[in-house]
Amino acid sequence: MTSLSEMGQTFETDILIVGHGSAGLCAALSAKDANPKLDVMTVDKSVVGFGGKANKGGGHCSFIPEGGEEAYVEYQTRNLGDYISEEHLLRDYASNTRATIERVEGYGVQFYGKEKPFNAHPMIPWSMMTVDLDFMQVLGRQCRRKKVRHLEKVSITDLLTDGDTIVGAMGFSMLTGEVIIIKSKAVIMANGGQNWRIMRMWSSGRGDGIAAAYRAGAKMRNAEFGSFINMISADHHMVVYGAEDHLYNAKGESLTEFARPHMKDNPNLGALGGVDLGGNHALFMFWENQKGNGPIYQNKLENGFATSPIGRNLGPEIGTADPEWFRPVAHDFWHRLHEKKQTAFKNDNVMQEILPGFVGECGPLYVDRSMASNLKGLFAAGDVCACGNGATGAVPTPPGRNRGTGIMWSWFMGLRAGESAADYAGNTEFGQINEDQAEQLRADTFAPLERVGGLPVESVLNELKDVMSAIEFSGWKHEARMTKALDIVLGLKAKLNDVVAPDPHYLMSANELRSGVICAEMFYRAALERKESRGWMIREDYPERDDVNFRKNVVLQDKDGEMSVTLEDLPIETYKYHPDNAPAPVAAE
Amino acid sequence: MNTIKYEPDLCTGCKNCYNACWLDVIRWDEEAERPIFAYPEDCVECNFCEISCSEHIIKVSPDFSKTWPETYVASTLNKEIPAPSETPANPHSHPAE
Repeated sequence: MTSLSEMGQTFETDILIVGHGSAGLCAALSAKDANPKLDVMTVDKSVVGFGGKANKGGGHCSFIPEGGEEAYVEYQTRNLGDYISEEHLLRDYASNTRATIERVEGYGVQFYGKEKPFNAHPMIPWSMMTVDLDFMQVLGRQCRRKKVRHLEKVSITDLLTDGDTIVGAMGFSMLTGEVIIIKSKAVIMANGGQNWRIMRMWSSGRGDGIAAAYRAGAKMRNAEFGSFINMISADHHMVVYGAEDHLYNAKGESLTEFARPHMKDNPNLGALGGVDLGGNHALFMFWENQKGNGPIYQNKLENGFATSPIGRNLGPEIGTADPEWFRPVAHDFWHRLHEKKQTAFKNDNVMQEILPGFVGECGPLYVDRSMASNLKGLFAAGDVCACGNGATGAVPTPPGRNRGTGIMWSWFMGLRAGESAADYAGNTEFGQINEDQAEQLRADTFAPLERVGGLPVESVLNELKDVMSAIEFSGWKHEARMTKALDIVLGLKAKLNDVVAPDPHYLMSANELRSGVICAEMFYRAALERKESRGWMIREDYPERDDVNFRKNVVLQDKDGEMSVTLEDLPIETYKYHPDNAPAPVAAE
Repeated sequence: MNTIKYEPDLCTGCKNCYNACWLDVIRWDEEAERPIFAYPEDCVECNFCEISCSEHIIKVSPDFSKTWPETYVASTLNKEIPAPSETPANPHSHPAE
């Protein structure tokens, strides 16, 4: 038997946080606040301050003004969560957004627009500020002051267990290929959701934490809702903000106007498909294409989002934000993106071809209100569990798809997970790492590096991207097509046994591919089980919501190497909002 | 694939580009104190190396001709699947409401 020290480099810490993005850094700070005596370590593939998703976007931070909490819970549950929202956690969140901001501000993060936040929602009390895109560097500096340790350029691939108790994690150095083994009392998984690497920069979630937790026996739920689809240019394949509101088919007919009556009679259909980011535009684009009315275009002269006050201040691609909203890093980031996009256009036509860009956003790791998973000592925060926590129901992560919720939820979950893990670790002894288990996991992970001849990561990855990106599979769902998609995914799963990695960097990619395949299997198995349409999950063969049979969660779990699928009852008797006490629909304007 | 270039003579060796690259595209030559653009095929043009460069001497040129996954129909994967209907029902008509 190989001892752990012979196998690789070993570490020991009270609380290990996998992923030092927005949620992970908040979890680290929160754990230290709760119990400064505990040793806290974060580990990530990136360097502190640059990991995760939160710095590659708008930096939007929405909060619920005092007195608006219950209106938010009701709106979210009825209109987005589609009656499977875990109302208690949702209410916890609604009651804590302002306190969360104060806490993060206390860590040194600066808020922009604080004097006069946007009133950013037409239906509910909902205000928005921003942070600059270097805010994780600020959190990182605060971590160093509190003596949080960091491991960088390390890919964590598996959790180490003793029965159903977590005793540590393992992975490898991306720089040297050395095995890394970390013994810990508690692990907080905070390394993002799954985006299947389709939308390039926007696809930062590689799902390693989901896959590691699943292999260790963690419960997953709400995987079927991870199908966020954005609007992208056919020329540069980057997001075209506001295109949803100005879509036309090849006959010149307005797709947006055609879509409007189908959107649940909800008047909240402004820019970006509504503040709530409606997911159905991609389906209308798909149907038009099937009818022979494609391709789909946006009228770029009609789309004034980029130069509007909201566009300038929240996603400053063009021009300069108002003084109180000007963020130096965000300005630089968005302007560079915009300038490079301009070099890609093939012509100056007013009508520009638009495609659906599959972002995914699958985050099914189950956690309860304390951010604890079903495994002892395993907690989670951020996108990895943003669907699995159940709070926002039938939607992809970032939870609820309300604009500006991703960062706020990452902080809320991170702070709560840190406190819970500190409480657990402060009352727990170190467990014993099983050397045989560690050696088996090492062998599984390192097989692509040790294999001679086989498939490059990219060849399998490209097929995985296709099976997730095609709207006929992942967007407009149907039993026969999803069965086919699942067959393809299982074929890719078999191909993993032939994947080769020439060096530790590609070993990281091979592990990400393995994570992507597992998450794709979760997505299609869960979607096949849910024989109805609810929230963001729309089925051609079951177009109606079925509250009798499916006001439930689809739960996935590893059972002896196979993915089990079960339906889980919700404690709806403890919930306040139900389909049968819904107010009359508000007429569209 | 994307092209990443910098001006070695103007580089101060601050390592900011290496630190900013969250995808391990940029490695660091400790001896020469200069970046190595080791895995440009994995660059996703986030531009954080450009933004973070203290001397503003890195330039990422995206390759917009890269192949893109199937968007509507997965014709490359399999054609033996039932065609979706052309006149879908309203996906959000919930009689219960």
